[in-house]
Amino acid sequence: MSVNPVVKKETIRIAIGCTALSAVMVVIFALCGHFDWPVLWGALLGTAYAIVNFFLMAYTMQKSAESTHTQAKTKIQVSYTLRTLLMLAVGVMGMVLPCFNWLAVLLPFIFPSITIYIMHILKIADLPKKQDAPVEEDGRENTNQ
Amino acid sequence: MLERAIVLAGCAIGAGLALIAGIGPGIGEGYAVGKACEAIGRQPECKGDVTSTMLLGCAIAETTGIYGFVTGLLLIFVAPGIFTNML
Repeated sequence: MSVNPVVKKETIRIAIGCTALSAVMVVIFALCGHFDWPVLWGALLGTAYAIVNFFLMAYTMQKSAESTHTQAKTKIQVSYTLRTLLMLAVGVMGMVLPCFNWLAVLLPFIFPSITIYIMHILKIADLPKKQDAPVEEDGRENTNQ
Repeated sequence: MLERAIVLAGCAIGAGLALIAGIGPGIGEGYAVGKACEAIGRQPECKGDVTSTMLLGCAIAETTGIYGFVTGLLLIFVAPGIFTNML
């Protein structure tokens, strides 16, 4: 099982983002006065699932990118179906078992996409600024371009 | 009794309808990856960039299915209790 460096890099970034967002979620639970062990276990389960789901998706795509168009489509659709079944198992487990808080299990499912949005916002903030107009020797801006 | 049955039936039908949202991302991801394969075949030197963009795009696309799935779960496990208590 050889993992592409791109897959590894993106998975690590998503994992860091999901963990940070989970910590924020647990803190918000605590501030609302609803913090207990089920919240913590639920956050752990949901975050672990979100990271594993992203990694499985990325790994399948890495494998699909080496195959033909039709094979790639089929591989991704099969992978999506299997990952949805895994999500169903985790979701039902979080809802049914009393040792998990259902909200703390379900919320981390959308953390990867929130992480991606945040990453894009930060990238936009890091864009290089527009270059200043060249200044002539007498201090005035050169507008004859 | 009849009201409760109607509420439960409504929740079950709603959950089924919400899960229809799970069909789209599978088709969309397959299409996106197919196109990415074509792009990599045309310009193999851009493989890293194409893969990275494709990963993030597919993760965003999958969120739609997750929304539908979460809505379905809520309609099955949470909503019946709330609505039947309101009766």
